[in-house]
Amino acid sequence: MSAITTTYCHHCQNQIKDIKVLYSELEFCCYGCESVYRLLNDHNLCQYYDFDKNAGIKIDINSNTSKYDYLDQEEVITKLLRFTDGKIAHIVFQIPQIHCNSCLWLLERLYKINEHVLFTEVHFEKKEIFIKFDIRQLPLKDLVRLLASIGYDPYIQLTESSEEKTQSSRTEMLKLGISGFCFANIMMLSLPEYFSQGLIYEASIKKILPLLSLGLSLPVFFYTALDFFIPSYKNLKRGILIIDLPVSIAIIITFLRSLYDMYFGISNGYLDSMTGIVFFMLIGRWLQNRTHTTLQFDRDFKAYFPIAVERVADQHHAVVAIEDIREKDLVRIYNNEIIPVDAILSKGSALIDYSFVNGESLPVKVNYGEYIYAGGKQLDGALELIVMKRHNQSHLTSLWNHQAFQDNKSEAQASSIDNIGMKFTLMVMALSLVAGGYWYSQNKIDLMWNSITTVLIVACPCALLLAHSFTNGHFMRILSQYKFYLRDASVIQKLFTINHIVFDKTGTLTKSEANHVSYEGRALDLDQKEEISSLLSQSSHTLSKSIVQYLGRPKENLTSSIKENTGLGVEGWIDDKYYKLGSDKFCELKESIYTKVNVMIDNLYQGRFIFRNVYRNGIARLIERLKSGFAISVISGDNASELENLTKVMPIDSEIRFNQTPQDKLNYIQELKQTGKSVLMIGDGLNDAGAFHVSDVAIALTEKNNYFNPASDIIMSADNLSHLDSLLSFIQKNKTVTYVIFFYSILYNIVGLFFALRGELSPVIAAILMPISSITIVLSVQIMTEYYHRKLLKNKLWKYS
Amino acid sequence: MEILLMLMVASFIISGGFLVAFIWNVKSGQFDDTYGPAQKILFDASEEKEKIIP
Repeated sequence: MSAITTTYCHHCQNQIKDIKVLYSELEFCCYGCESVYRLLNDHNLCQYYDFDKNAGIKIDINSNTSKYDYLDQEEVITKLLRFTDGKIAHIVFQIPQIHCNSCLWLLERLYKINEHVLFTEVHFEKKEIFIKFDIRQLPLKDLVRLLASIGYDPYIQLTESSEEKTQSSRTEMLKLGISGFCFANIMMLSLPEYFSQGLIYEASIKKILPLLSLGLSLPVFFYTALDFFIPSYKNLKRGILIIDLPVSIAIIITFLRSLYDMYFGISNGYLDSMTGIVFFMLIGRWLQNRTHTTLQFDRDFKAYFPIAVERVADQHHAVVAIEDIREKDLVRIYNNEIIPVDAILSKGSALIDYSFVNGESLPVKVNYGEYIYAGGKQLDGALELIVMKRHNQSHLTSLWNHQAFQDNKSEAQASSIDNIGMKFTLMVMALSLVAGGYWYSQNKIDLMWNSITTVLIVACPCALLLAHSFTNGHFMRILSQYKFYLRDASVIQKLFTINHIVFDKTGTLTKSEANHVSYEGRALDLDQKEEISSLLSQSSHTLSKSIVQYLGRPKENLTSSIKENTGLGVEGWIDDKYYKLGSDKFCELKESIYTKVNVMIDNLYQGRFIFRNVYRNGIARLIERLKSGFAISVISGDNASELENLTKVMPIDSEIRFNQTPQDKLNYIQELKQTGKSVLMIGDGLNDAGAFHVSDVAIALTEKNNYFNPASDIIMSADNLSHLDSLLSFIQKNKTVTYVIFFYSILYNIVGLFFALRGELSPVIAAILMPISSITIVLSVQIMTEYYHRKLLKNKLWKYS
Repeated sequence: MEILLMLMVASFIISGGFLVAFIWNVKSGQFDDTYGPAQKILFDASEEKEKIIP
């Protein structure tokens, strides 16, 4: 054995495994990567590799070029183009692969590779590219192929548009700016009053100052504060009390009281507090709602399927939209394409990878005349299929017709913050009424009004909401650094209650692409190994390929006669030995659950090659750490061959279920929930979609280039799965931060209320205290989250975004 | 003390100018992508980007 040196592909930085491609003394892992390099080199664009070491995207050389044929259709083109005058066309593509400066640099220099591209502009945060091109010289299809050839194949969908999102984020920004401006100016105008104790300055100024403040507060009260008024009113009409309601009441009362005070010249009012509170709360909300514009949490199966497919009719090929495919149509599927409909195989050799659909880790061989289900991926050349069901009636999509999908999950009941907030408000209201009642009984009507309103202003639940939204915002920002993206802030609250974690197996606990081969039985000598490898290298089955890789490629072809029995195994003669390699049935052995290839020489059983899943790094340790806090189950669509390995890893009392259909998974989660469990489901594929939908929190794992994931609450990078426990306990700290702040604001309120209830708190002091308390809250939230973040960072090997 | 009024007017004009500039920026989409443009200016621009169609 020669010393193994690991080399990395010059383009995609992946480790080079079996084949090495050389080009001008640089090493590449495949011809795909090499061709990208050559293309960039030819156009003097190799600077691409300088900006970011991990710039290059591995090219899938197997993807077929006819994949984009549907882009020739006139109606598809008109739907996709933003503008065209017959010469120049404008288009916007979503390109999920955009990840670094190199991408930015290269995509904006697309015109160097093809002169008919006139102008490109990348929108990095949205991962979009705007392209202006000459549609006469460069058809849309060729433009897409050009992008695909350098690794940036666009994600094309005919419906979606991100315009609305942009618009709403702009209004949010505007509101922030306006309330910030008004707050700062009113604050400035209040300074003379604070410093002079309302005594020294001249009458002319004394008249003008309050008027100016009032003018400045109007845009806040009538425009930016609507963000609180409208939702609370809408929910109130539906009989739901949300935290925005007490906040709105406080804002309105503060405003009215200020008007009253100003009119009677009592004071300059509390307009600085009011605008300040609105400003800070808008910041908090903005922090919390800064959504990950590129991530889509709501995708259903439709996004997974191709939008068009090639239909064969009377020797006439046409690419048709998937909606127009009817029963009995003949469609052609190319290598690595996803089968969009339930169909029967009529031509070709079908090797279907269903791992995404039902969790089976190994591809399935389908014979002529047999059924193929929608969602599988063809791995072995072109196929022709007879369509049996239309795309929205397939076996896979029937899951979405389950009644669990009818009720909307996102419209959950009021969150815990709303509950705490309401209790708090009711308490405050009761307090103010008691105080008011006391002064009323003493016949001091002016003091009654004074204490009622001051209590409401001072003890406004804003502090609570402020602390809450800032904490959530910081947590979500920090979590996204670890490629752990939350759908929205309410997910944090739901995570607190989780006590049962359910894992999917294929693609979640195990890596989806890799299988580990091992041999057990009578030891094989070198000649035998060479001969087996030689026999199997004639077979196209994936198991054969893996074994050949395991044994090493044969130096020469030794086989004299060979016969491949589809779905069973291979038999053949080498010299005078008769080899039989294949399934239990083929070798006439008792059937067992393992995925394996048996070896028989001259009809004598020698041993077997066993295929085991490769588990993600650190899974065993993760489970070890999780089991003290959570009950754990595994549900898999795969067969039970991994049971032995799983039981070693899993806690003794944990439940492990195999051969689960998507429906079974959904039912299992529902059963758990009925026993009062709060369930976190972690999975990766469409087969988990049902379970995702009924679980309390769903985490979808994503691999590097797989940017499809079923609807979920959290999208997480598979690289960081082994740190799940740290992330979960970090999220628990959110509670601590909120409680500390809550305690602090209660303390602050008690002191404030003490004076307010006695009717003693001078309006000036109240006006100064409020913004100070807001700022203290904002700062202490920042400090505490940063502290917990540092703790999280310690001793961890994180994969950063 | 009347000078205070003058100062206030001046400060409103200045800060108002900034507010208008901010609103204009937001409306023209300068805050849409906060990462890309900042990086792009660091790339060497050796040639004209947009070409005229013949």
